[in-house]
Parts: sequence; C-alpha cells; structure tokens
Amino acid sequence: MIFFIRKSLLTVLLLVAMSGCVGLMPVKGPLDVDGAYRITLGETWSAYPRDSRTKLRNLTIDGEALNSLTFAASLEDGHTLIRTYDRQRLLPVYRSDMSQTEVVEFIRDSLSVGGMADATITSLRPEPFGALEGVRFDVKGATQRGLNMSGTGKAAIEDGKLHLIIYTAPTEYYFGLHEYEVNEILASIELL
Amino acid sequence: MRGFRAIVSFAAIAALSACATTDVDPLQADTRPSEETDEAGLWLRMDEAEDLLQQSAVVVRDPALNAYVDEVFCNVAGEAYCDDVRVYIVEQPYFNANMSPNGMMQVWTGLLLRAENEAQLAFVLGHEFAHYRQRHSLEQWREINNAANLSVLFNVGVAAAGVPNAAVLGNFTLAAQLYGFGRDKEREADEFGFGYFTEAGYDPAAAAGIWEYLIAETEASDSDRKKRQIARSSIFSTHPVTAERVETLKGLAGEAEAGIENDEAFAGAVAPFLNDWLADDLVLRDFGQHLHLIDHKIEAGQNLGVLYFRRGEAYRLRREDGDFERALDNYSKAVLFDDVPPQGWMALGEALQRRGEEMEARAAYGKYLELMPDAPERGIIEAWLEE
Repeated sequence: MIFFIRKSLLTVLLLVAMSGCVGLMPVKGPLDVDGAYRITLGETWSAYPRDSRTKLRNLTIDGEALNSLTFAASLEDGHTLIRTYDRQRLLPVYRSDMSQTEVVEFIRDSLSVGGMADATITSLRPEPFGALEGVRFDVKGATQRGLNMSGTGKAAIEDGKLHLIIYTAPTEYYFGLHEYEVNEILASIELL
Repeated sequence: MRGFRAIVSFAAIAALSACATTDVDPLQADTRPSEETDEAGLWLRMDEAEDLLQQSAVVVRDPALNAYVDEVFCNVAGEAYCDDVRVYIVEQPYFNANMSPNGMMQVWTGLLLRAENEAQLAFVLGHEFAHYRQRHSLEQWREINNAANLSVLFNVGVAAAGVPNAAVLGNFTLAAQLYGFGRDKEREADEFGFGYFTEAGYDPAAAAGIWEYLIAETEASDSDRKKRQIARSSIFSTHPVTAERVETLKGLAGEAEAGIENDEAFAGAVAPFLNDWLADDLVLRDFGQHLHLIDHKIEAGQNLGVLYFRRGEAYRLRREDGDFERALDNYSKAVLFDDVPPQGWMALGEALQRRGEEMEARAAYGKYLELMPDAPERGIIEAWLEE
C-alpha cells in the first residue's frame, strides 16, 4: 500500500513538473488574439503560452524549429519583439508613425537580432488585414548554422497599435508543407 | 588536529609542484602537436568548431574579399606560416577578431567596416597571428587548470588552517588572476603583432590609430555601459586598458621606420560591402556610435553616395527632433553621387511622399524601380502610384 501511494505521488509530481516545463496546448479553429483580431486554424497546432514581455504567441505543428507561427496584437509605441531582461540593451522598437515598409523593416531587424542570419525581405505588397490596410511580406534567411529559412507574414497598424503575424520554417520541405494552411490563416483574419 | 592540518597543507604544496608548465616555445611553421599532448586535445576541439563554422551562414564567402584578406595576412605572417592559418570573414557588426590554437582565425565584418586602411587591418591580423605563434591558448589553458587547482588547494589550505571564511578570498584572487593572464597576453600580442606588421612594411602609426578611433567611437555610444567599459580600469578588465595600449603602441611607432597605409587597395576591397555592413551595424540601434562611424568615414571623402544614404537611414530610424529633415537632406545629397545604392532613391521617395511632395516622390520611386526592376517594394510603390 505504501509502495502504491509513493508510486502514485511520484507520478502526479512528474506530471505536474512536466506540465510546468512544456505548457503546450492543442488549438484548432477560431482563435482570438488579445481581443483585437481573430484567426481560424484549419489544422491542429500546438500553442506555447503567450510571452508576457514581448506579448508574442507562438504556434507550431512539427516543433518550433520546423514551423513557427508567431503573432501579436495591439503592440504600442516603443515595443520590442526581443525577449530580454536587460533594460539597457539597445533594440529595434516599433514606432506608431511607421510606414508599411518601416513596419516590415522593424520585423526583419527583429528577426536579425533574434538570430536569423542574412534576414532579407524578398517581397512586400498591400493586402488587407481584416478590414485594415495591411502589408504582406515574404522573408528569407538562415539559421546561424546555415539552414536556409523562409517566412511570410502580414502586419497592420490600428489606431497606432501594431498587429502582426509571421510564419517561419526551413526552406527545404517544411515551409511548403504548411504554406497552404498559413495562407488560409492569413486570409481568415477578422477584426474584433 | 594540528597534525592533520599540516598534512593537508603539505599535500597542497606537493600537488602545486605537479602543475603543467605554462612556458612554451613559439609554434614552428607547418607544425601540428603530438596526439598524446593536451595541446592536441585543444586543436581537436577547435577543428570541430571550425567544421561548424565552415557550414555557417555567417561566413562571408566572397572570393575577392577573402583573397584580399588572405593576402594581407600572408604579408604579415610571412610565407612560412601563410598556409597554417585559415582566415574566415564572419558577418557580425562588432569590432572583433579572434584566433584559435589550431589556426582558425575569425575577422568580423565590424572590424573591416571600422579599419581605415590596410595597415590597420594588417596590425590586427599580426596581433592575432602573435596569439597563434606564441601558443597563447595553450598557455591560457594550462594557467586556468593550474589556477583552478590552486584555488581548490587554497580553499583546503585556509580551511585546514582554521580560517574557513577566507575561502571567499581564494575565489576572488583566482578570478582576477585568470583575467590578468588575458591582459598579459594581449600586451604580448600587441608587441609581436607590431613587429610582424612593421616588418611587412606597414605604417607603424596605424596600430595606435585603430585603437584611438575605437575609443572615440565608443565614447559616442548611446549605451552608458559601453562608455563605462572604456573608462574602466579594474583588475577584472580582460584586456589592457585601451589608453595604455595606445600609449605603448605610439611609443613603439616612434622608434619604427615609416611604412605604407595602402588605403586605396583597402577601400577598393571593402567598398562593395559598405552599404550592407552599415545596415548590419544599424540593426544594433546604437545611433550615437553608428553616426560617429559614418561621420568619420564621410570626412575621408570616399563612398559618399553610400554614406549619405546610410546617415539618412540612421536619422530616419532615430526619430529625434529634426531627424526627419536631416534624413531627407542626406538622401537628397546621396542621390547626387554615382555610388548611391538604389535603396537611396526608395528612401528619398518615401521621405518626399511623407512630406507631401508627390511629384518629386513619384520621380524618386520611378528611378528606384528603373534601377531595381525586381525591387521587393514594387507592389507597395505601384499601389501608391496608382492612387
């Protein structure tokens, strides 16, 4: 009996510890983003908890390194996408008077600071973000170790606050694997 | 109890005498250490790191630039050592170069961006080569091991002597000692590096010149932390105080024969990369340091189309009072020069559009699309032109 109780206790402790470490939640269908806009996921994604500092949320299907859908809503003037505890660190920051090309530049520079080598915007074009005038962009780069990465995303400013969605994945195989789903997600944006 | 303490103290002293020697001879050309040595172990680890670096996306693979930097290295190191060191140009916006014991040298693009001429680059390459030839990594490795052993034994010794609280002091002095080794080796590398690069016929004043520039640039930084690093002179500073290095190198230069700067060859080698490297530097968002760098380069009077454009970009992103006008002014100057990057026209178009000068903006955008038919912003520009 004592052995059984000990074993059960250990199992519960292990489960609690595991849930504390990973915190992934399966998500599918409509997903509200901080009360600002809604996207609709056609496939089941795994959601990481929202980062309270950067306000970024991250979803993946095959693992963060293989496909990563990152989004945020209502980012204010002076906000950075880089997670840091160093308040003195100089970083790219969002400015509420940015043009569409400057918003994409801000995203690209944030990817660079975040570790993407040779981050380059290959295309940007106007595309609605829900009912807003948005900008769609494609990005290419590489991991520090040389794995080529591709990305696509959309951003828009609403009353001076930035909404953004970025999808990145290794160029070989994985980017194309979920490209259709990502395009559907980007087309599904509804303002709340 | 006293007998036990005496035994521990004796054991500590005996163990110290077994420490590996840190006094090693300079490395001969075309030499690899014997497999059974600790030095071979160091080389093996760095061979693995070099394999990773070779696959990395941050290595600049431009053949002409690599050939140029290799040539400067061979000028400094001499024919015998020319093939012993592999120089990798690494795309990182910071001023840095480093040398591994196995002959893998990294030169960061932030260094190439800041050097004013070939002589300054040659001095840095000579300094790094000195680390290799003097086998500083091996010495450092052995010193760290010996110092770590010393720390353990010191702690055991003071505890055995009945003063356990003094163990804290042991760790403090160990840390200072480790960083102190770094300072001595940097001084030695300066001294040998100076010899190599002046023997190769370079201008001896270039050695102090590059450090003087770095001090001035750092003082212009927006980061108080960076400024403090220059002023700091504690026992924990990992390099000799930069002002001290400048004085030492100036003293050496005063006794050396005149040499060449070779500024034209250097400018020709780096000019194709200037715009990209300045863009990388601006990502760091240290506007004070970045603008100091550009102003310094504008004074030299070359690559003005690139430099005015990049200065405009810094002002545009900084967004202080008057910066919009400064940005527009710099873009307007940039497009007067043949070397302005096509993006200079794009930036001018955006600034003019923002100021409501639509005709002029259309002309600037038109020029940009003419120069860059595959411009990534084509969709955005055409949508605005059609409005």
